[in-house]
Amino acid sequence: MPDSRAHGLLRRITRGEHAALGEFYDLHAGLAHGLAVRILRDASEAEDVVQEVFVQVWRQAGRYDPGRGSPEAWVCTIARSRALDRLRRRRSRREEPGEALPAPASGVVPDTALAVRAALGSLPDEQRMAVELAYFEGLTQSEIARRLGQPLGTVKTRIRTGMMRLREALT
Amino acid sequence: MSPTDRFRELAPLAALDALDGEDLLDFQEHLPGCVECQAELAAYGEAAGRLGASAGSVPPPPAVRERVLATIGATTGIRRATSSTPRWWLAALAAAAGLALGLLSAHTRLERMREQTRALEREVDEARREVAQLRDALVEARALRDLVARPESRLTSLAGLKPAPRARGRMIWNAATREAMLLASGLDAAPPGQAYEIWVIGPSSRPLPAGVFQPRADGSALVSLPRVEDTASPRTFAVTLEPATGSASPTGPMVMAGGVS
Repeated sequence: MPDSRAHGLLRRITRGEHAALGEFYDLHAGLAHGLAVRILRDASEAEDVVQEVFVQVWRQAGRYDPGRGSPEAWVCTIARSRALDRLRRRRSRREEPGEALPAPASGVVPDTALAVRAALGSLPDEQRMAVELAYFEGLTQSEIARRLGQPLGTVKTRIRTGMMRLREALT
Repeated sequence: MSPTDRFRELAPLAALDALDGEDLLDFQEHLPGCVECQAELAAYGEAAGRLGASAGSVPPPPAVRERVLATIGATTGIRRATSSTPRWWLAALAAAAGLALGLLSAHTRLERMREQTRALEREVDEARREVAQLRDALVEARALRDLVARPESRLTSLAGLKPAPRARGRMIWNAATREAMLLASGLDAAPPGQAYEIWVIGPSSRPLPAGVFQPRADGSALVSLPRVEDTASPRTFAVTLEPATGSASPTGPMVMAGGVS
């Protein structure tokens, strides 16, 4: 895990070192982009998200708290939230994604991704699907229940059980 | 279940931002005063944060890196250069800074023009897509008009069932030519990897697959069915949710159905 290197880079970014942001970008841009592509399925929007993510990293590196998660998880959190904002805007305008992109499985798969995929893959389908709808599509528990045509209680249990297993496998 | 248990059970959902309604309000109210739930939320948050990595790494084009560095360079580059510079350098620096500013504004203008070009290109692409969609829609609409215009064409209504109570459908079909078209509304988007599939059930009582479709964003659909043998004397038309590639016989929940009277 390149976390200790990433921590050092974040400290240097806080001091305003441009080169450190470049290095931090090289470590994490693929991750942020892969996630944005998976959420938005649109090349130009995904690139805009990557740009927003690292400008935000530059401005807010001082707010990063190692006690609350790895730099990688932090980048994912920012990228997800930026991408979901765009997805919701698109949904409210009822737009279709632009330039279609291949399924995200075509990306390079680093070891960390393999571990997460293995953990997700080990969940029963209905739990994995509920967790993925929440994480990648930004749906709430009631929206997922409606989407899947399942009772709310069932959906909550599926997400909870799925997350408990993921937590055990990943942390 | 004790109140604490209830909140602890909401933490994994909160970590995915999936709470809503009463659960969200209650959890937000409870969290600031409960160290245990804060710890739970943090632990689930770390697990949720790692989910992003499952998408895999997809390197963005090099231009994105340049845009990022240009953006941050423009906000802090000059301030940092002047922090501890000897006095005799000031004149030269002022000249250099002037030049840098000139370059910077030229660069900014260029960047803005590039941005505009990209935006225009996106608009052209969008317009092209729209034209293609309209052309498809026109072809379908003509087919529908022709089918409705034939005197022997008949109409069967399909009602939404439990998984899709708002769904409505009308099947226009012609026993002689075996042409059929489905007009539907009130359909939710199919879950990822799934699609709606149409079935014609005739005298054999075995549902024959008659096309897979995805509704439009507004929940409507207009689908031309392939010519299926049983459209010669159909008893029932139905729609189910199936894997996106379609099934040979129904496996998923039925969302709409209508009997031929």
